[in-house]
Order: sequence, then C-alpha cells, then structure tokens
Amino acid sequence: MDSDTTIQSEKSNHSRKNRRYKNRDTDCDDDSDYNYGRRGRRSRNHENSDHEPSRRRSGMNKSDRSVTIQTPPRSEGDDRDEVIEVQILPQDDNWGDNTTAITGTSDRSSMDDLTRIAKGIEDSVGFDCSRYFGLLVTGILSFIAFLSPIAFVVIPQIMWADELFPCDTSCEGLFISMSFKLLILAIGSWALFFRKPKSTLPRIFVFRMTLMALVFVFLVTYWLFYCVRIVSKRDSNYYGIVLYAVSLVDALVFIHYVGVILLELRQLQTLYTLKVVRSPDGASKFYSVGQLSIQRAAAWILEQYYRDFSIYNPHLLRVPTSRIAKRLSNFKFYNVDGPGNNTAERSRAIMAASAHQRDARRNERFYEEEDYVRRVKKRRARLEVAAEEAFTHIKRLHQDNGHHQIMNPTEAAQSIFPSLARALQKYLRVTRQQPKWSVEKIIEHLATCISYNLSAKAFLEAFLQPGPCIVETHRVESKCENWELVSDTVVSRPLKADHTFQLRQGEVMLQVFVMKTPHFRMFEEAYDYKDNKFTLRLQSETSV
Amino acid sequence: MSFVGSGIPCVEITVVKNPGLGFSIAGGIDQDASKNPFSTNDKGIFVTKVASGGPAELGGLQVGDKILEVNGYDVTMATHKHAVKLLSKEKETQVMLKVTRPSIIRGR
Repeated sequence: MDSDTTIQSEKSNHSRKNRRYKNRDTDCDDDSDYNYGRRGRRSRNHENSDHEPSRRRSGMNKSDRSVTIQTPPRSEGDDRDEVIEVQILPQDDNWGDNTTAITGTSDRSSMDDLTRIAKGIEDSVGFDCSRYFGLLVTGILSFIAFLSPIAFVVIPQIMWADELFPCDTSCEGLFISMSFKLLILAIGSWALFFRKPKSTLPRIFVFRMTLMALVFVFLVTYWLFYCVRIVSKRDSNYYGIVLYAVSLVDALVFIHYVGVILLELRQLQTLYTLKVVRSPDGASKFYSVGQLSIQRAAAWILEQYYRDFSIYNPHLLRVPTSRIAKRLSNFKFYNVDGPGNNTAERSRAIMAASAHQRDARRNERFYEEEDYVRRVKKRRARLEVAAEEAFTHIKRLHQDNGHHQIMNPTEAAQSIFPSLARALQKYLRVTRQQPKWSVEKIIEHLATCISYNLSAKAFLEAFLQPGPCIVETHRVESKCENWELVSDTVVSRPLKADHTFQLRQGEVMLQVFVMKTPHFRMFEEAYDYKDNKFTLRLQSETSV
Repeated sequence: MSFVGSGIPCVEITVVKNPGLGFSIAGGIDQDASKNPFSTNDKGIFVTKVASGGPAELGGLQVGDKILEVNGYDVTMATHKHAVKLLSKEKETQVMLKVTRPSIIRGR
C-alpha cells in the first residue's frame, strides 16, 4: 500500500499540467488510475499545489510555498517599508516524522512517556517467551492437580498394600464418586480453559494468577499433610485415605467454580459505558462493559471494533481537500482614483481581498463535498443498472430452452464481466476502493454469486458497502493484528469512571472514554384505572 | 362609534386593569360554535360575564359583546388561548377593545 501511494504522488505531479486543460467535461475522471480530487472548470487557470502532509513526498518541489504580496513596481518612489510581505511558512514535508510515528510493535521510537509506562517491565524482546512460559506453568500445575487424587489413592496400594484394611462397599462407593467428579472436572476444565486465547495482553492476568496460586496452595497443603501424616506413618485406614483424596477433588471442583465466576461471569453485568472514537476519521461507537481490567476491556473493544467500525480508507479523507490549501495569488493593486499617498488604503484593500478569498475557500470545501456525494450517487446508479442488465443474460441450464454454450460459474462470470466492468471500475475509482479489488477477485466473487443464484444487488453489496474492518483482515489473511495500548494507569488495574486510554495501530488511533452508567432508582406508581374518566370541554370560559 | 376594517360597526372601549380586567370571555376559532348562546355558529370571542363594579363595567362592556380587536390585534379569527394571551399581557395596564353588539348593528 505504501508503494502504491508513492507512485500516485509522482504521477500527480507530472500530469498536473495536463489536468489543467482537460476539464471541459465535469463528468470525466482522469485516465490516470489514482486521482486525489477533481480539477474542475474553475481551477483551469490556477496552479494546483498538493499540500499533502505526507512523508513520502520528500522529493516534491516546494516552489509555491512562499508568496510575497508586493506593491506594484511603479510606486517605487515610496518608502521601502510599505511593501507588505506575506510568507506562507514552507510546508515541511518532514514535520510528520517527529511526532508519534509508531507502526506495528515498535516500542522504542516513541517519545511518549505514557508508552513507556504502559509497556511495563517486560520488554518486547522476551515477550513471547514469557507468554508461553506462563502457559506452560499453568498447564503443569493443572496436570499435577488432576493427578494428585489418583496418586493419593494409588500410592498406599503400591507401598504398603499388605497393611491396609480391605476396601469395603463404602470405600468402593467413594471410588465411584471420585472417578465421576474427576470426569466432571476434566470436562469443565476442557470446556473452559482449553481454548485458544483470543488476545495476548501486555500484563499478567490477575485473576488467572490468583487461581493458579490458589491451586498451588491447595496442592502444597494437601501433599504436605499427606506426606507427613499418612505416608510417614503408613496409615492403614484406607477408607480415610480415599476420603481424603475425594476431599481434594471436591476442593478442585470448587476452585473450578470460582474460576468460572472470576473469569467469565463477573464481567457480564455491565457497569461502564465506553465511548470509542477513531482518530483519523472520527467514527465513534458506544459499548457497555462490566467490571474489567483495562487490558481485558481493550481486548474486548478490539473485537467489537473489528465488527462494528467500517474500514478506514485513508484516501477518502483527502478527497475534498484538493482545493483548500491552494493558490494565494499575487494581488495587484490598482488605484483608479489617481495617484496619491494611499498606502494605507492599499494595505486595507489587500487584506480585505485575502480575507474574502479565505471565506470563499471555506465554502469551496462544502461545495466539493456536496459535489463528491452527487458524483458517487450517479456512478452508483449507473453501476446498479449495468449489473442488473448483465445478470439477466445468465440463465440456468435447465431453464434455458435454446442451444447455447454451456458454462460453469467461473466461465459465466467471465462472460458477463465485461459488460459491467466499466461501470464497476468507475465506481471503485470514485470511492477509492480499487486497490482492494483485482480482476481475479471480482470474477471470483461474481462466480460465487452466480452459482448460488444471488441477485445483482447481492453481488454489488460487496462494493457498495465495504463493511467492517474484519473484511479487510480477511482479505489480507492476516492471522495476528498488533495493537498498542496507551494508558496513564497500569493496565492490569480495573476500569474506573472518567478514565481514558488509547489503542493504536499505525495511523488508526482509538480513544476510549470510560463512563459509569448511573444507578437507576425506580419508584412504583400505581396506575389508577378506576379514576380514568374524561369529560369533553369544548366551551371554555376564561376570566381576564 | 367606529368601523372595523371589514365594515362592521363597533364601539371602542378602553379598560384599565385594576388589577384584572374584570370580565370573562368564551369562544374562539377552536371552540364549538354551535353552543354559542349569543350568536349561533359564530366563532368569535364573546363576553360572558362582567364583574359588577369592575373595570370592564366601568368602561362600558356588556355581556354578549363580541370582541373584534384587542389593542389593534384582530381576534375574530383567534383561538381561545390566543385571545386570552392578548388580553392578559402583563406589560400593559389598559386594553383598548373594539366590540360590537347586536344593538349597534341594528342601528339603535
């Protein structure tokens, strides 16, 4: 994507002169693939300077950045200090490099202290190792915990079987109950904990650590008691030993229950409302969330973001601005009332003219946007007509009575594609979507729609509504998305009202504001159905 | 005796608030005109009560008068609420009414 945009800038610079004279037809687009704005009739005689503050245009000319408004040369007899010089500060194309330009997982290039606080002790170097280490410890601990009751029961049989009292019915009953409880524990653990983690959080997950610590403490206590009291003394009361093992299984089941509550159930009751605002284009949404730590809330928000927010198309933001930061032409001041000492009037007139031009420029943005919307609508209408016409050409084999060529869906798609190719290309170009759709992809999509008997509108939906961000990740088939969490409090702390934190990925920044949902106090009001009588008063008399 | 714009003969009465105006009105374009006791199916504003000794009586207002104008504002096509609002403006200490009666119309 980056390389594409560099090419665009070069092209736009070279063909600038051509574009100046090609604007008779307001409907036509450029033949160049990428166009940052329509050069309409009005701009035919003006020089267009693309003020894109992108770092990629470092090779561009910076010629038209400084303008001097001067008094006309014939008044050179006047003093020098009446020359009004206005300089537009040169647009340093590199100024963007000094601000936060973090992409991906780079956590060293930022000058933000906040980023450093949020990173915590673990650096990104040992990050993956620590994640797998934690998982390993958890796995080992759980395994030991699962096998401990069985070990408790088996060890006496191995070590001092002859001294043990024989196992009677109640003891065997305990075996049955222990095996069933272990089975249930196994199923519960599998259902709850054996899931691929959806996200990797920067800090340790406090609840999980608590659970593991609890399991560890239990195990240590039980084993200690077992070794000291039972193994060393070679206790022959087998029934007691089995009872002891069953109590450990019970304790594990209860820990599992606490785990379910802490990890899954506690945050279901919503407590906070989060407002998520996306930075470059200002899209926002509100979500309700329960009591969570900041990092877990951030992970949850990201899931919703990929489903709810539309794809961020950076090209769309630049559409109407092609005329905004434009020419500041030299003003020539002509005095029609005759010569005289009128420098004050001169300066006033120039100021008034430049102010007027500034106002006109602001209006231009509004008209540009309206114009763009109208153009999109027109292209869209044409596209829909073309698609519907194209789809009528296809008929299923058994419905068609004539002897025509038999094709499979891909061939059918290829045969009707040319009739809507032009309208589709134009629409994609105007909505700046053409990088996402190659011809093969379009034909593949068309073939799918044809083979499932979808209508033209269903086929067009993929282009008319680009959809949420998950479509984009699906298209590029990325397995892992890197996001940065910027927060002024430690991210394993719970959410608090009126806090804010940010999620960043390259250009896209999601600012999250936390708001507490108020406590609702409801009063009951009896509905008096007996007193629900009315009279009609058409004649009202009022005293004044 | 004067004439309103539409040519109906009327009387000009000025009532000074003391503290109210001292009469009651009924009628209006949103009311049911078939029950009008003074003039059936007339949707105008009518005077239904005049407080004895009040400012309205002093000004010469009578029961059954139809008010045509209040301080220059036409109320022949006004809703009841609007007429009340015009009459009870707090800023004005007196109201100038143009009223008509059947006796005037008949020419007595």
